[in-house]
Amino acid sequence: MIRGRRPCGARGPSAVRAARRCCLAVTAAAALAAAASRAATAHAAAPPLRVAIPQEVANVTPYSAGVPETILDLVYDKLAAPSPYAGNATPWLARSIEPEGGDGRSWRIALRDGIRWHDGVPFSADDVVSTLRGYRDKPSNRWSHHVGDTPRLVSIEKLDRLSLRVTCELPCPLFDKVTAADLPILPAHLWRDVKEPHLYRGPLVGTGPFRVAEMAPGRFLRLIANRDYFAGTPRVDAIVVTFIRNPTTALAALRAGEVDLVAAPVAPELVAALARQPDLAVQQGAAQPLDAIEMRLNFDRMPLSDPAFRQAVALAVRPDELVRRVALGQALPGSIGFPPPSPWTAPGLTQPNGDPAAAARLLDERGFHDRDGDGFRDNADGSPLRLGIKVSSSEALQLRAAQVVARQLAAVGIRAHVEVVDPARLRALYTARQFDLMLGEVTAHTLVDPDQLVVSFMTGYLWRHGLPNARLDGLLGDWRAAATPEARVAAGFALQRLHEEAPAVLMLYYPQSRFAYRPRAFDHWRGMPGMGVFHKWSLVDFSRVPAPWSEP
Amino acid sequence: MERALTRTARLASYLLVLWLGATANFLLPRLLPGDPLEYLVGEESSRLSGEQRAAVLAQFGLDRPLLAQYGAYWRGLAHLDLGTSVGYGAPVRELVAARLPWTLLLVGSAIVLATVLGFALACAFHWLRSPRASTGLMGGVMVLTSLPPFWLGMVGIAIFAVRLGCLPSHGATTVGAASGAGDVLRHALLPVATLTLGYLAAPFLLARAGLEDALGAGYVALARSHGAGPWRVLLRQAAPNAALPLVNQLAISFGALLGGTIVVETVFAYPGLGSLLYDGILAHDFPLVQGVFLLLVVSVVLANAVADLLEAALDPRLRRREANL
Repeated sequence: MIRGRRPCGARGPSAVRAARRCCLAVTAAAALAAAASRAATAHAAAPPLRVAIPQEVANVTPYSAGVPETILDLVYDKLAAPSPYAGNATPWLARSIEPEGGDGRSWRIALRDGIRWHDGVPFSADDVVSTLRGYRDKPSNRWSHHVGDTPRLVSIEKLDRLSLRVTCELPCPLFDKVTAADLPILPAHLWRDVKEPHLYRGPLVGTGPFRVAEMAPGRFLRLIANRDYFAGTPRVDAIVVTFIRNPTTALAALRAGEVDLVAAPVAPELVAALARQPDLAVQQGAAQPLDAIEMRLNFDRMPLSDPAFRQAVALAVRPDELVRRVALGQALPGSIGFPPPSPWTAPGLTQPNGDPAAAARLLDERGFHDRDGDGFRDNADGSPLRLGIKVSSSEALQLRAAQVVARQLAAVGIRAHVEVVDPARLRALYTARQFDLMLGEVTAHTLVDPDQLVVSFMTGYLWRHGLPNARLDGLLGDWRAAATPEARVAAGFALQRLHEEAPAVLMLYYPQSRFAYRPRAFDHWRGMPGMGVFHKWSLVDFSRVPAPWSEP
Repeated sequence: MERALTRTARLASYLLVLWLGATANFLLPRLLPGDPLEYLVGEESSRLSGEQRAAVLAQFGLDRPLLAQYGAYWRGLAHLDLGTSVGYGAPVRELVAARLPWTLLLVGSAIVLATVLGFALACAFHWLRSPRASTGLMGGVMVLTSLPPFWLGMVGIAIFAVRLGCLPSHGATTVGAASGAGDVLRHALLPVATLTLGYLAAPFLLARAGLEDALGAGYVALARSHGAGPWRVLLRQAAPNAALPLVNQLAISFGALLGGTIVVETVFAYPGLGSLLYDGILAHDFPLVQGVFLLLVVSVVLANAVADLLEAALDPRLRRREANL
């Protein structure tokens, strides 16, 4: 059919017109690129240390979501250091932290003189008072309950320019070792009147060894050395932190020479290959790790509400196999319920596991038999026994671990299937207690902090407030009444032993994380318990500083 | 009169789509599983007292009834106020404005490149006389398009960034060094190539079908009878007509490509809207998710409107039909 008009091409774009359009398109793309690049700020200083972290940092305050505590530690300091985890905290911003009276409730804190904030304002007791009151009274953050609840500070009073007194509602005999080493201190002159701290967008000022020089949302965070740092000398002039969520991309960037450290653990199967690369090296985070891969048992649901069944599940799990097959030997087995190197872990504490025969006997005794001959046990009432193991879709190693655990449970006749869900849904299911078993990672704060241990018994992690448990209530009472450090630690040990009798959480293994870096760029990385290698203890030379600010 | 009615109906349909999109955009984040408090205060949100929970929720306006939140949402939109991101602690409008140029650079370049390349391949498909070569071309395009973008991206990084060292592996600019337009384009090359290859099949198949129709049309036969050579017939007679459906396809693909940037931007750590949306979804950052989704909805509606206008401008049949109304 011949249409009654000329085809478009007959009067369509000539070659010149097409070329013009092409030029226009290229110009538009270049203009767009130029517009985008205007947002990119140029820096011509000495090459900074380039570190890739696996999440985006939107702001660097204790109220900012997702900011790693080790980055906060580069900008802010605490009253004591290095952390609450190893029991070796010593005064840091403080000159001394001394108990007052004999009831373990009051502490007098004397601050070091001569410290200045990054903006030049002198550090004083006003800053500490304002910070502690802020954590207690303002909208909550990760630190609030360690000032408003465990322990609860009922009084925070300034005594003079460089000293203050805090008083707890109940005895807080570990304030100097735990609480003081946990709370980043903020400048009062910037934070005192902030009503909505989560939305704070003011200057980011701390006393730490690095200052925030620039933040480019979604792209990088630039820190520069604070040459007036009171406790040591930063080893580098500047650090650029880039945000690379995908671990494969991060390692590719390292191999391509675009970053100097990937501050996320290397997958076990890649460690040997990376270590063989001529320009790369691999550093272990800490010989005795304080993070763990765990399995949570929902004690609100049958049959896991039965302590004997939980113990049987624990006995059926063989952490050695998980270390061998999942972590490829680069982990410690979760044979102990709480990290063994911690002074906060009860001596001789063992987690029941690795004994399938004992698990089978226990299940038999509780009436879990295979009634229909399908090779799996059924509930005592004859209904099928099926457990789901929920695991995050973004954690490949944990998925592998869940599959191994499912096989181990099958070996004692417990039918368990792995359910992969996205991370947001996993968190929601945990909060709603809609799971049987759930794999996840637990960090040092939850696992080691002795105050957090009690919080864990109240919030559904190890037990839930309101769920009857007379023995637990008694031990919690002892813990709260303990007025000396020794009594408080002993009360914590008793709580740990109680938990191990019928665990609500099983430690599967403690990964001995390795971190890949370029030694030519920086070769002072060192592992610190619960912190990895990217922290101020790697990046600051403390050797010229007299005690008590000597290197921990 | 009839023309005015037609235009009004078209405008009304756009507004209806916008309203539906904006309403879905308000509701969807609230249907996501989980508690936004978990993100605001971490895993210990379960430790908060009722009073503390209420205070945090009130701070972000999440304590009010759904209808009140919906009203506030529209009031905000009327003032171009997309709210404040709970994760970033910054106005969503600012966040989106900072990320939008990067995503436009990726998507715009990918659309243009994929369309040009797809059209050129379709021409080559018709030009190639050998069935084996045509089948190979078709198979190659389909295989490339079927590859998962994240895998394609990783292969690109492994070859061009790690092995050859000629392109950057991630980011939008070289961090810590002076960056100009050339640096930006170098960083965009791999993500754009990944998006382009992933989107290549649609323009290729459309153009191929269009060319097939056009080459069988009478005016082409007439041109041939007047002695026009095969190149002239293909490029001057068939190609312009075959290109018309691509205009519509561009509008449709704009939305799809914007969505596709989530994967590509995550793989390349590219600071665009896709990675922002990904973070927002994971974090239950309602205002942020809403802001980005709304932008996507408006973009797709606008792209469709532009496609309608362009099609009318390019196709004389449509112009004539409108003129006759």
